[in-house]
Amino acid sequence: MRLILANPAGLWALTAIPLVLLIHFLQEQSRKVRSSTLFLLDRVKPESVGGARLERLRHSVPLWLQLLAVTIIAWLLAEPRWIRQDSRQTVVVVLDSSVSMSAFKKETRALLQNKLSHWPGAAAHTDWHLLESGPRKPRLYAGSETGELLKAFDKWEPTQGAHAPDAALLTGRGLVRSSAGIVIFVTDRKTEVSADVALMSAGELIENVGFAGGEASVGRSLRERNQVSQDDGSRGAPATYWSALVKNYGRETQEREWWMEEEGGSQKAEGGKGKHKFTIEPGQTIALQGELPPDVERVTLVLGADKFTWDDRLPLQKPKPRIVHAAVRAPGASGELMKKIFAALDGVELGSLTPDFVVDELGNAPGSDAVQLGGSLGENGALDPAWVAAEDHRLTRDLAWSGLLSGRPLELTMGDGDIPLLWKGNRALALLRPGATADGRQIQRLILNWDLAQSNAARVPALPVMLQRFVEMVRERKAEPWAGNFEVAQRIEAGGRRQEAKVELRVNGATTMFEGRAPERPGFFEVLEDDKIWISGAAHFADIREADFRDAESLDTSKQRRIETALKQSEADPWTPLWMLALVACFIGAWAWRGTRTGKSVVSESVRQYVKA
Amino acid sequence: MRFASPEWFLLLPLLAAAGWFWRGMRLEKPFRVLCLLLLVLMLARPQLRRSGDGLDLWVLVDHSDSAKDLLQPRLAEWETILEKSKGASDRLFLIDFAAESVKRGALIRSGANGAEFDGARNATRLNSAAAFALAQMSPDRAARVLALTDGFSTEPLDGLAEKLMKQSVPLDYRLPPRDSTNDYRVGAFVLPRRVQLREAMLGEVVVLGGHDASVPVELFRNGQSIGRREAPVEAGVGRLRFTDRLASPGAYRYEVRLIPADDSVPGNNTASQWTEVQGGPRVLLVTSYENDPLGEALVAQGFDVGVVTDLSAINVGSLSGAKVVVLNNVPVYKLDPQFVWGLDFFVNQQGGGLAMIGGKTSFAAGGWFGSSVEPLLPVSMELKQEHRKLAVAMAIVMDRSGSMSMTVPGATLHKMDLADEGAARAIGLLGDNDLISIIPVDSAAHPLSPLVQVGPNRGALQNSARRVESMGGGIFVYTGLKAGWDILKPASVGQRHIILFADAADAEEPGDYVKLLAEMQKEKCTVSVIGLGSEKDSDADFLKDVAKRGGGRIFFNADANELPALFAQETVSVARSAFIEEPVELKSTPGWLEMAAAPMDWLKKIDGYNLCYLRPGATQAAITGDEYAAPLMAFWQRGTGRVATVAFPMGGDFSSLTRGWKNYGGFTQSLARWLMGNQLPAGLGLKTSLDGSQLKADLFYDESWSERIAAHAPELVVSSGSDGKLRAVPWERLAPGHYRAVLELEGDKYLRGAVKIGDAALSLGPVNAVTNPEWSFDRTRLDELRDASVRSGGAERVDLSDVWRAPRPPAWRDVQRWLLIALIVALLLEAWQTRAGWTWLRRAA
Repeated sequence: MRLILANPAGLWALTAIPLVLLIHFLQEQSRKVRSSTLFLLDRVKPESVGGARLERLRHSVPLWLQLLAVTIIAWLLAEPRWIRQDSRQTVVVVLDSSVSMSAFKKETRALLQNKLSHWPGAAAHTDWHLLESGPRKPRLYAGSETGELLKAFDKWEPTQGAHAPDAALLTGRGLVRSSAGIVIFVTDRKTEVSADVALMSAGELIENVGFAGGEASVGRSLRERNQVSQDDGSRGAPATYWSALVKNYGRETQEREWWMEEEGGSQKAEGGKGKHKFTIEPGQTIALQGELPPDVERVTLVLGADKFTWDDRLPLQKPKPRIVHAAVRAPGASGELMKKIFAALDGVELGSLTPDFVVDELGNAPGSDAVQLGGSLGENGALDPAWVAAEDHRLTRDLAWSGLLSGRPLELTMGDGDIPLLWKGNRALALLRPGATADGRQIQRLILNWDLAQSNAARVPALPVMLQRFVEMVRERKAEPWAGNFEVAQRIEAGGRRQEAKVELRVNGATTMFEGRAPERPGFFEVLEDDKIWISGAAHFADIREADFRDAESLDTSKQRRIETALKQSEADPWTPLWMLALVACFIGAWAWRGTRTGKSVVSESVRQYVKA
Repeated sequence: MRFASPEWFLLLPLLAAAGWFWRGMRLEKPFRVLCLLLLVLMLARPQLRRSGDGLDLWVLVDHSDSAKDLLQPRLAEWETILEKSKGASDRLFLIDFAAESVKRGALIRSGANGAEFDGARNATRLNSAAAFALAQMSPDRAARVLALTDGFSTEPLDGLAEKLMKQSVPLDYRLPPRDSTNDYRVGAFVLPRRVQLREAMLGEVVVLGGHDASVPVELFRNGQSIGRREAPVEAGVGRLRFTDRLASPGAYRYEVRLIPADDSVPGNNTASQWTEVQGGPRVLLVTSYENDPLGEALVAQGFDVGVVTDLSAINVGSLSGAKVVVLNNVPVYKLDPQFVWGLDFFVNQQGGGLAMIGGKTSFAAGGWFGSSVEPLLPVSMELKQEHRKLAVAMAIVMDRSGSMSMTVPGATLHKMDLADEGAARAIGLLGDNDLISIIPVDSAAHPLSPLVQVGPNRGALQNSARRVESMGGGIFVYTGLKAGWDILKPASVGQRHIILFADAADAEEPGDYVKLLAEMQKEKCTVSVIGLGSEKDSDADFLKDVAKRGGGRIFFNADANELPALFAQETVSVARSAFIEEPVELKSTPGWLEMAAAPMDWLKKIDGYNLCYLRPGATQAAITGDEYAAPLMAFWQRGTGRVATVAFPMGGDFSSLTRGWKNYGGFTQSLARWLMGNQLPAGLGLKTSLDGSQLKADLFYDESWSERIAAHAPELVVSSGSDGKLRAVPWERLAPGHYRAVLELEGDKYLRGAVKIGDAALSLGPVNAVTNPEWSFDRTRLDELRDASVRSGGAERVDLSDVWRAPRPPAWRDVQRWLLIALIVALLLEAWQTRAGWTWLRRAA
């Protein structure tokens, strides 16, 4: 049976023990004995030196009985309670999945080991749950062993950016509801939580300096970036340029070094070579720039390490964008307008023989994604005064269509899969129509159901924006290999893969199922489609809120809750009356012992016998 | 006191016998007797009474819109059951609640049988009602709370279980059955959150219902009906689409109402949403002048200006799309309180600019003292003592009728407490030489004191004011005014003024107020009115007439929390404000160069100005040439926004010199440009969307913002409703250049937000939950109620009489600890006495 003390302060009563001892150091009062004659008075051994107040401590039964009495009183004052054998509690530990926790994993483990070890004492049976606060994260542990819980903690990695833990805490509270227990949120700083959730934190201030983002781009020379013209009038040769931001999140000026480590065949930079020193003030952000070495696909920018390591390495991948090939087949002014618009868009090449999408007239069956141009009703140039209203769709959202003047659209029969985008009156002005090619490939057709030449579409900014968005949709569905830079856990559009293909994510040689996101840890990765590299990438950490440790601090608000829970699960010591009777016995015993000693007459044995006679 | 185990007292004679038999133990020694007595007492377990045997049952009766139809038919029966099944020493208390709480039996309205619940019913504040009950419980009696409710509180029940457990009060509940087979309701109301100016938008209403039918639907925009159609409901679902176009910037509130012929739950037939029309940075000029020269000057300088002369049309949505708000000689009491409250957030968080222009109804004279705008201004409006020329004699006639005994929504304070605080604050603002009398009124006037000088009596007067209690009935207005005038009449001071505070729905006894007020006006005594309620209340017109005939102001406010500020505003505008009506020289200062690049060729004189004082930290660009050297133009930064004051009129009376100033346009342009602040660089966008009661805010930025974002992570700050409480909302970083925040819209409050990145700000809102939360039947609340009940030791009571037989909190408490402490002291004393042999008695030798 487990024991708790409801009033541990009662143990202060043990301070009476030295007082009892002190009392027994005092010289005992001399006993006055009446005797009629001197000769009847036995010679007694002197027990104390005359005139002294203190004497040496003598062992005596009353002393020990009094000490025992004090101990029993202290025990009773401490109000011992025994945990009921049928008592049960639920302890839910919710770990903060924020990546900043990685800086304190060891300390957090020690804190949990220390604090959680006290909880089993509050009930006969404890159900443990270990969750984490990140969305999409599974439960880490559920069971009755603290050791297993700590093992699950050891395997856990916090990888999320800043987020609200409310959903996980709500789940935790639901687990504890209507039973005794507690929800403990383990984080690295003070956080607002509801009244029934306890907080634990092993955080502390860290003077952190780290990368706050970076990018690599192809073909923009440093001179172009810095807007400096060259003397000979020529343009810089295409190359891959990188830039990165470094921030000091701390409160003190810091000195650091940075260098580049190469991949793809070249050796890592040797120690000391290529290292650059810099000084950075608190709160300052500085920009670094450079050029990727030729024939190098991947590099990592490295900062001198500190306690938070996630932002000390910035992997960069040489990007390989996906070019969308288009062919404009629509004749006349409308076709010319389309050519002009698409030629101005980034990442689009016109005139391909194997285009990704075509621009053609409505009525011609396309063999790929397409933009199809319709006509208008009404006589030459007659405009329809009806409003243009936009549906809430990715292609038309937040664009201003009120300025578009056009003729009356044709009446199109809307199919089941057709998605209307724009309305003019009660007729669809633009819509998205899914379809399939002869060989079963799914395609999308963006139908612009008016005569562009007979409208002011050329002067409406919304139209090229919509067309650019359509190009992005086409680009996302392209199947050719590409490369780019991403943030950790960033969603990657992978619409171009085949439905039946096996798509995997490979990181450091290990493959897992691809879930549509970049890896959760910084580094290089590949997305494989049927074991062939489809996407090459580098994921870097960029959530600067997680790198700021100025508010990190240690705290624990669970202790009082533990005591309250234990009290509810316990019952008063049933032996209390026995302890009290023991007290009575101690007192009586001490007094009886003294009584026997002092009550004895000092009259000698000889006198007794004399009296007998 | 009682003893849990009295049988142990049998030890006493045994110990006595032992002491007699074994004399050597010397049990008769005092400390030994004490030790033994203590031990026997401890064994007998004495207990002190903590509470009485009887049980106090506090019944919370839900009168909200969602529950009243379900509970009303059953209430009488339930209350009878509880009354009949209670014990002799038990007591039953009833608390009626919805948005507010009031104890049954308080006479709320003089003419409504006293016992009818007359508070707002559009919310179910169960947590507040429970707190109200807990605050009134007697600590020496056991108590329970029984909630008769539909269980769907509109406020969270956070902390309720803890409060109940702390006071050892279990919570029971009884839920009425609900029939929803014949119910039509708004399932969804979809509108774009933002549209461009004159952009057609598509909206959709989804109607859900149990039976197929054509359900009439009416659509409203800012309270005006814009159309009515029928939505065909088939297989439980009906859809209706509509388009609309908005021609001016700002935020518009759309509301949809279902009007089915037969509906079992009519309360869930409405839904509303805000839509914001985007425009360029706009100046919102709120002015009391029909043809405001300031507006013309701003337009001439190229600004997009929205001029509002109909002050009743202003609302918090007017701030959407505005970059600068100019208040040109408008008094605060003519503006929507939500708009006034919203200005603080608009400036501090959303980076807006605010200017207040002088006039006879501006600054303190316009009642702006004590308002939420006052701390924003770079000047202080309250007249300093040494500058006051006239003493004031003031009488505050206060309503202490039954309606004042109701609680303020969401709190346990009564409305009377807030009115008392208002009166006390008014006393605090009067000068030492001013005279005051406080006259609480119900059906008679009960002056707290005659007209006395404030100076030596300030503390006592404030204490008396704070102790005024609500006594029931309604307020007799004529009696109160007469009593006030009788007290003020003999006062020979420069100004005499009455503040009449009354319930706008229960102000009775007009008497011959017309004649009385005419007499008072003749003697130059003015009357202002603070009406608790709204202009639509039954006695509002009467009160308006009193204020008009009394030559004073009238304020209507339904929020009792505003009362202290209203009293303060009115007191300052009467007693401590000054508009100087004489021409005065204007002197420029170098401060102007902080606002504009080039010096200003100022006008030499102005016709009049509002006397005010520069606040520390503010900059003044021009001052008066008189003895006050008062700031005529001052400005400063507030949060992410900017605020400026121009203390002289720029239109209307006392502005002829100003209007003739050749640099009027240039001055206006510089002022407006400075208030606009720095234009937000391109490359940043904020998109919001509603999904049920969840608002998603997506922040997008391009690479030109990367460095700025790296230096200052974006913050999202929201303010809910008019209470203005700020809350930070965490962002989730989804991708480079994309952050998202998700927040729940709570209750019926609208929400406004600001995204701040360094010193740049993007505004968001207003936005509110689409459907009335009173009818949203959020199941989480029911679960919270059940949880709070279980944790506190209560249960659902199907048989109400059971509640009297439920286990009661322990009425007795142990005193073992004290006995043990006494025992250890006794032991030490006994040991010491035995050892050292001291005694209090000397034996005779």
